[in-house]
Amino acid sequence: MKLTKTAEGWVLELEWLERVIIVTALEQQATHYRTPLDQLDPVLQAHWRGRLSLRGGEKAKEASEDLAEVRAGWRGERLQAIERWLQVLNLNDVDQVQSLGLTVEEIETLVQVFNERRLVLAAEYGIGDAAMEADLESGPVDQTQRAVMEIHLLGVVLHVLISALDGELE
Amino acid sequence: MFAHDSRLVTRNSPVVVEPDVEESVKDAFDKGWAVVVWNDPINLMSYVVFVFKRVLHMSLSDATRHMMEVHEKGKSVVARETQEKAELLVHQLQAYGLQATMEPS
Repeated sequence: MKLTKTAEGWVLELEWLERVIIVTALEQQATHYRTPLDQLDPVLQAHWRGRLSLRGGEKAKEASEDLAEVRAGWRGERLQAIERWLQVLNLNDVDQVQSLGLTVEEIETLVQVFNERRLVLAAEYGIGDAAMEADLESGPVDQTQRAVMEIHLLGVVLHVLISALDGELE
Repeated sequence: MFAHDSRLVTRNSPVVVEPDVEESVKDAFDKGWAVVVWNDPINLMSYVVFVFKRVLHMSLSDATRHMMEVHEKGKSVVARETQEKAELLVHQLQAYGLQATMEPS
């Protein structure tokens, strides 16, 4: 996986196995975004409502409703971006490296989407500190451990992306 | 416009501002809200530093210091702002997936 800056913008190059990880994560997240909020698991509905304030009282009440609306709006925007990327990336060509052209804004959206995938997995499977630090090589792998593995793998992907963006911020 | 409003100004008298207006103006300019970022087990330390730099325009050293405070103490006050600006910052931090809230300080 390589993210390089060219005269036209940024190019993300992905080998087949990297594409498998990324395309799978994007497809799963697209499914999540397409699912109406009221059909999501209650823990994920709470994730999407968000929380503006713990002690804000009446002053923060109305603003909390605004926040929930804003947060819901991110779902549609991010779904559109994923659908664009999935039109470019495919898993058919095992031997070829595939490239995805991205603007800085799109890299930021990609970062937000991958990080959200990690947060959604954690919420869905109740993953906390203990699960994140557990030894994944011992014992049979269950669904929760698979989710932890995906969270770790996407962490590596995020690291590559934010290293590139860091250069843009300085 | 206000100069012709008899409730606000009378000739040869100081400006009188109704208490609720005074309160609204005070609220609008009072940086009485703390923007707090809370620890969570999922967000990467490097990612949190990146978001602080991106959203709050912190230097690398400030971003790292606040990230460590979140990590070690469970939370960090990353800004003190008016209600409106604090809301905006919370929206922006949450857009990146950070656990951010605004609290009256």
